[in-house]
Amino acid sequence: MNERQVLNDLKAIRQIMDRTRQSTSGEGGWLSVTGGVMWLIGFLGQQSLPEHLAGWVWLVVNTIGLLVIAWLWLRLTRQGHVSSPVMRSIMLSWLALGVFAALFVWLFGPRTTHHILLLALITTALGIVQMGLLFSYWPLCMVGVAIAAAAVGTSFLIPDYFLLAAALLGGGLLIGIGLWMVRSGARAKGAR
Amino acid sequence: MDRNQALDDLKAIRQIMDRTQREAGKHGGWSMVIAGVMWLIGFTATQFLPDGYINWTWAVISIAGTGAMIWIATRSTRRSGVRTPLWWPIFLFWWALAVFDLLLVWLFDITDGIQIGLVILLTFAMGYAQFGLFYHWLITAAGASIGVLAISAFLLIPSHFCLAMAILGGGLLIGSGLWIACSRT
Repeated sequence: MNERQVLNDLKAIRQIMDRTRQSTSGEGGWLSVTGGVMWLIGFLGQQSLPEHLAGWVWLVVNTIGLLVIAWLWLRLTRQGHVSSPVMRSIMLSWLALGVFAALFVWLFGPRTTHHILLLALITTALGIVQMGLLFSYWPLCMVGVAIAAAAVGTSFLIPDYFLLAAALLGGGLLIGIGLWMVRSGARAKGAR
Repeated sequence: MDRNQALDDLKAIRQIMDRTQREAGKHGGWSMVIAGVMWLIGFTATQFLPDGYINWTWAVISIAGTGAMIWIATRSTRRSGVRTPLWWPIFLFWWALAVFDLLLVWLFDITDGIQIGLVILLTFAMGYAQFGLFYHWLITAAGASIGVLAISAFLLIPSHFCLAMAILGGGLLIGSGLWIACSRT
């Protein structure tokens, strides 16, 4: 492989990545907003409602949220009328994170809700950082780092308000980055 | 993005991936072999040496192994003649996993040496499984196998956990690394 070939490949990859990012940023942004809203309502319910009611809130939020995510995902994959192998790899990558978290709970037994949520938060943060690295989308990496830092910080500094902080910081960051992606995607499409 | 454009992009990505895998496969394979040798020596030492020597052994192995990996990466970059921007995300990917490990050990107060070893192994296995999804299926298979082996050894033969990981985990990494390196030549 000579230098010119490598440079041509890199240029092609960059163009494809830019085009894919622009064409997917609308639905990708709404995916992030949906995740953020689920996070916000679920954790707010957990903080302020009795435990049995909070469970129901999570159930309803997850059901509605997953339906919305599935619809957005279908729209995203059908937009180009082809299913991308990258999308499959991304889904499997998130599945691997989920399996890891489940194994960790089974093997090391964090039993309190606080600890399990903390594990879920930092695992999600790792996944967001990895997605940011995959697409060389640094703001997403920063969101992941911010969520991890906020989760660990509030867990130690204000443990009584850990869930409230998780709702506002995690949910707010996901909604913020989602809206920013939607806006920048719309701007890029407008420029074309 | 219309159908033709998407298909053209996918075709271009496939061609670039094939070419890059052909070129980088050898380098990736040898990196796995080095990681496997590090595991083999490190975990064998952990099983048999007194506590005072284990940390020193791991420190020496880690420095030598990382140096060897950097040397291979540098040689590969020099041969292709171009510094690709892909190395940074790959480096940061593994670095993020290391930070994740530290957080888990700290937050969940894992103090037992074997349990810390298992957390590191499982994170490493997950990283391999994820990395392989975007690079080579054999890396994913190696990661999943290491995860299964680590949990089995932890639950079934905890007293020989390190020896099992040295032979099975190290052997798996060396074997699959050699297979990737040789099959791409």
